[in-house]
Amino acid sequence: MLTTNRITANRITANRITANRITANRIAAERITANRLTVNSAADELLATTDGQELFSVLVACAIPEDITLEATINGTTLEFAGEIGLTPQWLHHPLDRKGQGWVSACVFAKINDHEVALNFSMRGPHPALKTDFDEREVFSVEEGAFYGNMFTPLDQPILWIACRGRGQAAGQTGLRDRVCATPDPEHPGLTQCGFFFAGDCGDFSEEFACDHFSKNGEFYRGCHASPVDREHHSQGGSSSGYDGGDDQDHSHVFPQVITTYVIP
Amino acid sequence: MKTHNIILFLLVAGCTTSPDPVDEAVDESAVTIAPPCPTSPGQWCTETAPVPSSLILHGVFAIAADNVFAVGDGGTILHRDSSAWTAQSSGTNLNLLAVWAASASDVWAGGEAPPAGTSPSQTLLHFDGTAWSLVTAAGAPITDINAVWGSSSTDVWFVGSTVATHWDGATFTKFGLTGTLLGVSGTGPRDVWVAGENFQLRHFAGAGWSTFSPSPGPASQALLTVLALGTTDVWVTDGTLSKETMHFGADKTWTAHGTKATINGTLTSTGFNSMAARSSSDIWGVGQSRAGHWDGSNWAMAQPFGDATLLSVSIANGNGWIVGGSALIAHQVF
Repeated sequence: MLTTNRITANRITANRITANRITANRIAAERITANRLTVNSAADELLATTDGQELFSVLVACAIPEDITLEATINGTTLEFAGEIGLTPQWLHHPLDRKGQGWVSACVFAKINDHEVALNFSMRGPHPALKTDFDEREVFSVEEGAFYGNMFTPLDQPILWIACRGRGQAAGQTGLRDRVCATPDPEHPGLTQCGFFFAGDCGDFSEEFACDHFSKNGEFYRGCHASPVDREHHSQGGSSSGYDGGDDQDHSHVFPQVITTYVIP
Repeated sequence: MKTHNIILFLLVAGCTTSPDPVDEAVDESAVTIAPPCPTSPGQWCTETAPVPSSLILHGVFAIAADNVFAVGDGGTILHRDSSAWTAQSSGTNLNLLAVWAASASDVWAGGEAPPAGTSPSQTLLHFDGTAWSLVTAAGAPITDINAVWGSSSTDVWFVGSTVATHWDGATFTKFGLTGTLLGVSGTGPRDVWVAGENFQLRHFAGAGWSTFSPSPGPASQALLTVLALGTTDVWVTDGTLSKETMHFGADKTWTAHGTKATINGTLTSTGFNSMAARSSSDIWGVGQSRAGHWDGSNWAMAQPFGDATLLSVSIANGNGWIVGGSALIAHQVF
């Protein structure tokens, strides 16, 4: 039975992402059984190292639903990569489009934690795979921030990883001691403590804020910018009013695929 | 002026007042934040060590009441004798995440792997009773080591990023398992469990690994640790609400035992990063800023150390230790 909880944990560090890049090519080669597929050779380079295998396990967990397992044979050993969240199951058979790249990127960025402490957290966003129930929203009540961008940028360009600071973190709520990737780094203005681009505060609890919309029902942000936009801009409808992330247009100034994260106090 | 939250804390083993013994933990928070040691038996107290107060201690292992090791960030290794903690030279400044000992002269510590391309490529240390040395033997792990467990000096497991490595006293053998492996435990060479993130629970019975997820087994893939007390007495911690701990029992089925509790007026749910036991009905788990005690029926949850992150717990000879963020070291004489 599929669960609606989208609670996950985090341990992968930012430098693992930087050192192990992947293309948006399809990741499955052929089906073994109904729920088991082999990994496309396009992932061979990534799977050649253990660091790359760890990143691939995070990618598969984000992209593929929990009833699907991918197999890869490396130097005679068969490795299994289990699906979990299922943001972009189409990636099995087709290259990731811009929208899919945005979802997988946001998920991977949300899972990064440079403190080497595994911590459960809740991911929310305008995607069916990120649906939450009342219990999850009640317990995971501290809003950390939001993550978005693109990790599938050309190899000669830096990863576009962006985070904004959420309401709970801005208010100094507890539970965030070991989640610092949406926390501004005072020693490196413009960056978070994980090295992400810092977009400022996410929502209208601040005078300037990065995201155009906040869904109170789902408790997530939508339409976030790479830097803060003043209140007047937002009141004029912003640049993505009503945009639901449902197409592949070039919205270089706004990111529709945004994952908002929550922790337990 | 610095202020402290007054955290109420009193854990009384044997109390079972939860209206729902399956999904709800018992909140028995009372009294005050844990005092400095020493204190009366049956209470946690805090000890100090010669390290910065901001340091994260990731792992602790008690060989005996007067022989305890703790490891942490920046290559920190601490040793406690009968009364005090002292720092030991590790020879590395990489973060150490786990420690385990077969004896006082056979201690292993592991941690964050060196950056790719650097030499040596291992962060596996061994203590022979006199000094720590880096282990660079063929087959020694070159990935993160997140957890260490063994049943003897010739049966030791190291797990971390995608790899489980076995030491038989002479050689290392590597098993590729994918995911971020976070916990390892067992009862002997033919009964070993591994849990992790982006991973499924796996079991080693002496030959190969089998995936172990019987219904209604671990529901998510955010498995933080595993504790095996017997071949049919195994605990796994899960990220799913009301299934924060799962127990594999004598009937060979999994039963969920939640840790959700209201502590100091705040609704919480705790996924334990570490568990240790005195018996099947006397188990401690720690995670986030909370500690839980299992009395055979329920988890009693408390927050005895403020908002410090609790990362590891170990028990030996009627004494328990917890370590975590903010250089926390807590001790209890049971």
